[in-house]
Amino acid sequence: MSASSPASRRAGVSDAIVAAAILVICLLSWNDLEGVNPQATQFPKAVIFVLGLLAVVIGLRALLSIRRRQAVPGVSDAEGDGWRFFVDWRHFVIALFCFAAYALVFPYTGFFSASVVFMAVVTLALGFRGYRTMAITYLLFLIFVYVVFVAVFERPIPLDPWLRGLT
Amino acid sequence: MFEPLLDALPVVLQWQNMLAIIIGTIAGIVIGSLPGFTATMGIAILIPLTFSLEPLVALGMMAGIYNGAMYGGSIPAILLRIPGTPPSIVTTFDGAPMAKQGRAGYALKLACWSSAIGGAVSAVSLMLFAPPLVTITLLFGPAEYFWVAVFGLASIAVLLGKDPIKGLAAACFGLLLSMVGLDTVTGAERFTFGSRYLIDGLNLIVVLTGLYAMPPALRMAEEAMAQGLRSAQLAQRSEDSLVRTWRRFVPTWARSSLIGVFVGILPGTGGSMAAFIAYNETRRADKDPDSFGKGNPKGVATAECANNADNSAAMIPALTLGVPGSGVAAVILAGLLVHGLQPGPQLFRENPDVVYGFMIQMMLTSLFLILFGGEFAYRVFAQILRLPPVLLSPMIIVLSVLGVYTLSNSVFEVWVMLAFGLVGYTMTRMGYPLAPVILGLILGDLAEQQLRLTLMLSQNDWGALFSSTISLTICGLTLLVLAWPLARFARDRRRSRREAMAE
Repeated sequence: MSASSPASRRAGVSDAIVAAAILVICLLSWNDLEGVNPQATQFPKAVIFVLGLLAVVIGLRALLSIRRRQAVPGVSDAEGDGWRFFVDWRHFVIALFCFAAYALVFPYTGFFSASVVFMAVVTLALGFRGYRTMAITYLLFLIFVYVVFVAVFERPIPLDPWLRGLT
Repeated sequence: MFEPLLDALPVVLQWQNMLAIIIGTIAGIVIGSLPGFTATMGIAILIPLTFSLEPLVALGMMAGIYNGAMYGGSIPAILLRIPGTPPSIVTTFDGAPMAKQGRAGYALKLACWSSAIGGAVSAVSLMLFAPPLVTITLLFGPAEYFWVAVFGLASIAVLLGKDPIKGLAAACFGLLLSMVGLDTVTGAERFTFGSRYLIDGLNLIVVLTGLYAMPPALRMAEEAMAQGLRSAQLAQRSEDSLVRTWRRFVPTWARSSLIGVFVGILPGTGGSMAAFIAYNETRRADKDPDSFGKGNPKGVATAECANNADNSAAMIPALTLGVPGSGVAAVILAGLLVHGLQPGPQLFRENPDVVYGFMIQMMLTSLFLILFGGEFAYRVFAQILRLPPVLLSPMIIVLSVLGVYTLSNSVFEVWVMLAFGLVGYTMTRMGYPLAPVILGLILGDLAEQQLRLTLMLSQNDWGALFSSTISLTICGLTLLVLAWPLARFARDRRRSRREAMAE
């Protein structure tokens, strides 16, 4: 694959984007320190300055590498070969969406009910169809969680109404 | 010197501690044997669970996971040519060809014994070197501690990842995270962005779980591999006998243990580097170097011995100076802090049972590998590889949510964990190392407080930072570490120029 291949360009562009994001974080952080007691801002401002400097170096390096790759076609770049940020962005979004929904719901429905639904939905949405394996694995896992967290360590878990009688 | 160790022994031998060690070792082997899982991640998930436990019980579990996972990584490395943990990459070189030749059982037994020996030697080095080193730290004042924190951060940031600039950026990010919340001296709010939830600062465990547990879980969900290993892939054939052949591995074990211990003490290195160096040295010293990479048992022995010899040694700077030698040691350091144990002379003076007990636990977990590793691990733990990875991802998420939520019954912490999960995912994909972030979060407070104290005591004289020989030495070492990538860059450039001219 040539250096100007989509994969190596993607890696360079992603590097530049992350560097820009770091610079934005630096600006926001610096701005947040305005009006704060100067004694409390000395060290953070020094760190922000160094981080900003490093972000500029990373960004410039990424931009230079993109330009160099465009200027010299045919030069191979092993690191860039086949690089993609996501392996499968659809699966990533599914997992993330389910996680967010789970975090919203479990304090109200109870931990175990929400976990059963979450695990089943994620696994099925990701294309797994081994229902028996899934049921056995998750059942054993939740029994393990109940024994360790609730029965042994007595950690404060939002218990489901149907489980409250057991404890 | 041995008195504190003997005093701690009865405490370690209490049934709760022994049970914790056994559970930790088994859990560690399981975690290590699953590709994508690391000891760091296992300990990160475990820490919230250990809140209600005695510190030594918690540390016993962590020691078990640490040593167990380092060995566990060799199981898929040998059987499947997939390194279960990063240091076991070197084990694949000869372990996988051995499995192909039908010697998987022998390779696993050898890996187990080599790991146990490396781990035991490393534990002895921890017992020998940590107590004298901690007495040296009594000479340290605020300026010296400031430089120790800077040196620890610089070395982890520069030496751990592939890109020193990204490593340094990660360390600065960690330092910034450590400043979130109320400033303890002036009471000023920093980086709270008006949120009352952030006034107390970021919880180390929440950040740790987000950074280390979420990215592999999301990655597994992305890959969604619905098929575990088939039983045929785990089959083994004829066996050699380790009882008959162990003598020829003694020089390899000795050399690899020493290399592992030495590399482990250096901050920012880790088991992978130890295994690579030991492998090269063993091959160089062998009469038949060409047989390496084709199933030479010494290749397996040296890799596993060196990567486990790194384990306890990496805890020497962590326990004495608060500067861990590796990423896993950084997480164990976080575990100590969670239990209110501050590394340094105070820890050795006020909690000798805990610190010396931990050293004994590191030794015991290494020896327990012999019980739970080898043939037993092959028959029991390797079967876990048959579980489809797609089922593991939601289980990691559920465990992480549970651990973080139970810290303070706060859903906000779960969201913070998710946010750091995304940050960790991005950092991993973009080649930014995670350990400097955690170390920055741990050492940030120390660095800032000691810097302020130095300036306060010297009436704002910055020269006070360079006024003692120890400060100057540590400062010089820091500069050396920071200059190392530049020197390497210049050397590579010179070499490529020379090659170009030769052509």
